[in-house]
Amino acid sequence: MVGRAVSDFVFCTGRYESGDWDSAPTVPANLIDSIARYTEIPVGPAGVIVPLSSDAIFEYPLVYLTGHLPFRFTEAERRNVRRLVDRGGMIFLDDHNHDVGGVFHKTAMEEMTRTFAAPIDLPNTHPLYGAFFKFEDGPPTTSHELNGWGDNLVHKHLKAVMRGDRIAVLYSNKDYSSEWNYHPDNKRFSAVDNTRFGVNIIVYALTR
Amino acid sequence: MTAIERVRRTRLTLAAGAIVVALAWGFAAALAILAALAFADVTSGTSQRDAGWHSVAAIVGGLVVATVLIWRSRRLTSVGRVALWLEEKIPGLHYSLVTAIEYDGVAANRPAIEAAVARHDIGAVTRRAVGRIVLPAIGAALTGLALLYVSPSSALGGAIFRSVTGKLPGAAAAVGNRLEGITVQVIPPAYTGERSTSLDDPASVSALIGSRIVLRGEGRAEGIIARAGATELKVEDARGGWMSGFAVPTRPTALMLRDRSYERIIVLQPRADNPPRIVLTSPERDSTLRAPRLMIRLTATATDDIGLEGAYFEYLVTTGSGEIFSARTITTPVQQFGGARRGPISGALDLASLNLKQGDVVSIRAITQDRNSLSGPGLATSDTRTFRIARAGEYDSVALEAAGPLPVDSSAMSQRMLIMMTEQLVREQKSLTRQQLVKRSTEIGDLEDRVRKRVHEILYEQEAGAAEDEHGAVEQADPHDHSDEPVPAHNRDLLEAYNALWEAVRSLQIAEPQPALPPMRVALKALDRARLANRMYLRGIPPKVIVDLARVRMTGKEKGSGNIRTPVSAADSARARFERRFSDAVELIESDPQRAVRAFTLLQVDALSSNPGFAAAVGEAIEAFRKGRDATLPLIRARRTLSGAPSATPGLPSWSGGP
Repeated sequence: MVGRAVSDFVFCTGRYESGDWDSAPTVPANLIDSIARYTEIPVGPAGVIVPLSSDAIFEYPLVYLTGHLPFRFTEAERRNVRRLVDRGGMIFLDDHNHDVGGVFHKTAMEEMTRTFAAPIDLPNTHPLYGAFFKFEDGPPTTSHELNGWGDNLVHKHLKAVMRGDRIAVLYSNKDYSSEWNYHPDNKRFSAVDNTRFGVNIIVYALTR
Repeated sequence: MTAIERVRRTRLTLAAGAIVVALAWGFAAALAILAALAFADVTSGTSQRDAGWHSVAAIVGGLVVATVLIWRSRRLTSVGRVALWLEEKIPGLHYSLVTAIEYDGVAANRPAIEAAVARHDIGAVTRRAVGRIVLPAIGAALTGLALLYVSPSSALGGAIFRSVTGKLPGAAAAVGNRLEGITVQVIPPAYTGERSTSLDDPASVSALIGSRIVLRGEGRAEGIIARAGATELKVEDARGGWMSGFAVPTRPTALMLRDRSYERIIVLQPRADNPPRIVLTSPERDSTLRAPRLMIRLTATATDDIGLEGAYFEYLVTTGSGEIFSARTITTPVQQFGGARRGPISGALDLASLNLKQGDVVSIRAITQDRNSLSGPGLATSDTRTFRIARAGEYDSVALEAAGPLPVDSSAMSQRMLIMMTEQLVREQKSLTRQQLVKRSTEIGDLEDRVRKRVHEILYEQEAGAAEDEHGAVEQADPHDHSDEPVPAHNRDLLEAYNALWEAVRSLQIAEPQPALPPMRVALKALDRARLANRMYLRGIPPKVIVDLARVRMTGKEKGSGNIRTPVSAADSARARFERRFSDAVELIESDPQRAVRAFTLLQVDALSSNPGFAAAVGEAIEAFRKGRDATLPLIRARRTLSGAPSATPGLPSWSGGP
């Protein structure tokens, strides 16, 4: 049987017009490094930055969004992210403020509700937490939560907008953008690689 | 008349009586069977429309009874037995008749026998005997007729039965279909201020969510079952008929009505009160300012399908940097619209009054709400405009306003004019000589070349010496490269326009206007896109880290353990389900039209929210079925809505070896 040609996975950071979409510039490289390190998924060596209002966004199965500032889509961006999700794509939206009272959180929740539906708490037994590495207790805690940054809370759940039983939008209030925002060469100083959960997110997006 | 002639005459009379009796009893039996079956149907709730076999049963029963009676009268074929019957009825004959028949023509005492027979009135005895058996038979036939008349059988209309039983308590189960001729009253929610409407015998009801629906029909309520989806509705007697009231559900639902064996489905199509919309018309774009001194004029327009409550502006001021940000929200007083469907709102914001510092961001948006007091109020927000105060010394704080339209507007207009000129040339081409065609085409080609040169200047005004290939077309940049790094031609729309213009110029200058049109149109669209692309992203370029994949994979430390991957379900399985159900329903049209209509109705209910076009076409088909019209066209439309238009297969190209 002749298989269909499949392109390498390219990590995509979404650029939106409001706020600071580029607040975690080394997260893509770090997650690409983890995908290469732990999996055999063919992966591009560098990520791309794609405007959400561009149709090029549909070429990517996973779009990563982050920021600190008020988060709002333009009409074109809103239309495109809806189409992306309808086509089976997934959005990973991380609050770089890790603060439920923060402006990013409030505006992002509003925008998700307006664009898709109100996000729900994702159960810690969801297949996402076993998509590659096993995370028995749900989403791994970040050092920023434990150090009391932001709202001084350890968030027990991630949130998600579902399409059937598939995660369409994964929303994190745990600030993985800060946790993973370092050069991949520095992983060698860590006892446990804290980007392993990022591998789960990517594998989930590519296989569900 | 001789004795033998009297006997023969009696035999004829008896035979006629026997035939009349047999027919009368057979008739009575048939009528009784019809009436009994009609009563049985009413008791068991079977539809009268399915009672075609009743007549057959009645005819067979009547024939059996008549045949049995005629068979029992078979003795009348014998003259001797008739004579004996007469001797039995008139003992005074002393077997004179029997003797006369046995010794017909040879009896010596014949005159005496004839005289003895003549003394008795045989005819009167016979008539009395016949009357005794004929009258009960005729009475039975009349009784059967009366029974049938008062029965619910449709043979005699059943009107008496319905008129009598309709007034009796508990007799509702015996009337006809109470689900026909119903009226549906739709009462919209009070906040809409709209009047109620009434529909007669509808197949579907479209109403605003929260409206109240009141169904009314003839007859008593007892025995009628109404169910909206899984919810059973109360049905009660009112105004000389039955009625049922309920609120419009939030999802498309099938309203199932049942009266004994009768069933009716009405499609409930809820209409949502759409949330309002608000468009911020001023300020038109985001800005970065060097100093927080600006008076901003704010205008917005709100609209709603039912009615607006009010609207206001909201300013969100974000202060901070790095990991520490704070925000404060300021709102203007609500401007009331009093239920109008459209309302403008305006105001002014003095940035100086917000006490802004360097790096602060003011996000401005307009918010409106409608008057929906049931599921709302519906809120809407406009797009957000941001005004940022630049930091001193920040690398991208050049305080540039968003760029105005590119100076290609005039080129775009010219391009449109050139397309029109080329189209005209193509139309007139057949009437022109070759020389004229070459002259006009070359002229347009020269004009098109001027447009191309102008685009070239814009495209490369900052990139002198950009690479061109030997044909003059610029190499395409890598389509996967969406980064902000400079590329040889940094405006992709202009690049596309430029290449298309090259093609068009080539075709026009060799007097081939027809092939020049497609690239000319491509160039026009690309120029339009470039003209509208007036936003400039001023943020810096993030560092690009390229991972050395080979090195990483050779030094991997953990392997991880992959779990079992489950295949992704079909993206459009709902459509496949609809297609299956649609095909099944189409198959039923020939064999069982009622079940087909029922299947189409339920399909319409399920498709209303996910595929309204398909549901509408199915609704038209149902309406056609109900009115006895041809439903082929709506069914075809439904099929195409579901499966897409048929794709034409192109024929063999001319170079494929065909003639």
